[in-house]
Amino acid sequence: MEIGSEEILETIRMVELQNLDIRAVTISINLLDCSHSDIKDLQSKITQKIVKYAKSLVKVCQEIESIYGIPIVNERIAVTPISLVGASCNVKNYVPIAKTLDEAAKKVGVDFIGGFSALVEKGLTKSDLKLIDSIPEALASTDFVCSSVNVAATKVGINMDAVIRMGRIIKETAELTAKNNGIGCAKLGVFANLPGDVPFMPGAIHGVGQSECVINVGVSGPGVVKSVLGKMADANLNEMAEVIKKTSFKITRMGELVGREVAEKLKVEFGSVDLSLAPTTKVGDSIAQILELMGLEVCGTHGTTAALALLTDAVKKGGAMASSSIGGFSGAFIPVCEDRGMVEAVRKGAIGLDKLEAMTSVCAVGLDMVVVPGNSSEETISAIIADEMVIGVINNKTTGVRIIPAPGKKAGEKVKFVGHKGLLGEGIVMPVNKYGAKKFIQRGGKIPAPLRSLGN
Amino acid sequence: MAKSKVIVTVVGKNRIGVLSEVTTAIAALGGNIMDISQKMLSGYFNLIMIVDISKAKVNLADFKEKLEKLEDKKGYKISVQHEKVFHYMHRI
Repeated sequence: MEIGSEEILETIRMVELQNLDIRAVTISINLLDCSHSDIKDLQSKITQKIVKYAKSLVKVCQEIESIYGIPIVNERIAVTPISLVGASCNVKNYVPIAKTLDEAAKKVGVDFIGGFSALVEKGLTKSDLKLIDSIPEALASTDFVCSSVNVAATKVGINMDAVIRMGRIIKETAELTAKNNGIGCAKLGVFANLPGDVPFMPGAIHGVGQSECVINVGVSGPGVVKSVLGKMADANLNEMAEVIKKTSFKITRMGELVGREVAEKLKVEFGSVDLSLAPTTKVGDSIAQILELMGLEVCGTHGTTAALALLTDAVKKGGAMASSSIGGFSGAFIPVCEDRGMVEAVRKGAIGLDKLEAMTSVCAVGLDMVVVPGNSSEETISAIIADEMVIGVINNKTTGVRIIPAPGKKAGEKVKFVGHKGLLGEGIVMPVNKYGAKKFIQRGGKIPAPLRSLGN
Repeated sequence: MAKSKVIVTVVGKNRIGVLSEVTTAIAALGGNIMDISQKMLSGYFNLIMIVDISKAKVNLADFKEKLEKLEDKKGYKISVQHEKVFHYMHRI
């Protein structure tokens, strides 16, 4: 046989037993040509363009799923940051545009649409301000819209005025969605060095400098990695790294195949595969449990940062060989609410914000789906964001914060997010430091770019 | 697609006639079995076949649907996947 029967069975096992799937196929659409001074015209052009490109996405994904037997879990849309698209429109706020995006997403049958976003790492335009101030109402009055704001970049530093603003915006978004524990904040991310081709939410945007329309894919395989590591009781660390690398190669190849096939069927370009190992709420699909299999008593204890660094590095090396185009975050995803092992680690008191922050310094993408007490001040939230932005800027990597100050909830309480097929999971409120940083944050201005930005 | 080979895998509890049922169904649909392999593990069988459907009477989607229907009546699990999946995963 050309392909050995063991190999065939391995593939089948990965899908049937180990939760191998394509986590997200995201169609990324340029909307810059929809700009218009009249809001109705703008809305109509946006709707037309999204429907034109994305109307067959779900159907094509179902076909590909059937032919290749690899489940495709989510179909999404990413668009050009709306602060750019809406800039010439005479409208007080951009909530109507958010509603248009929401309706278009529902029309074509996807489960999220990202791009209600602004890129403000060096400064805020009038349009950026409009977009940012619209975020709370936009996220409260829509179901599928996701928002992101890039406030920092290694080349330029950190826009602390934007960071201050986002602390307030996050609090407002939480208040407006208090009935569902502040779920609006689960659709909002603040980033440093945000790439333009992320297939995952809430960071998905159609970055500037790309073509009209591309397909980006996010694979997922914590279950697969966990399964192979489970058979390596006495391996040393480099043997584990080797096995993770090979497994990551196979997982990524699926993403490459599916991405190319979907792009071909939709007659658009194939963009990139995001190598992130993204967990889900399904049993066995947890990053924390992989780290515990590597030998940590509970995820979050000393050694966690080292274990995670080894894991992420091996995933990247294996994945890099597997695809002609790697993009997006391609890091370890630790959305706390979406990873059963993480939630358990929080419950046991083994992991907190400080450790999560340390993990983001080597490999993880950010503080993701982190629930904090509802009475956390906006300055504290801004300070948490500032810490995370600095890690990204100085280490020349992407970092992000998706933080939810759950209204009325205190540290240790459970929080569940209803809707979205249970994708957002449930969490336990983590305590923040009892001391504040109000004066530091309120100073505003910019944290200048680090010396490494002088790379020419 | 240029290549029209699919991998058919059948997993189930062993009994007389399984191989015959599946191969008869494939032949009825016009599939040409290129290679076949079987493993037995504790009373369960894993059957893997490479089938050329370029001259089949139906397209891939229908071939898959009709074959997977056997599952209900016969008590085993059948998957039909285009061979590209396996080539992509296991070969550089």
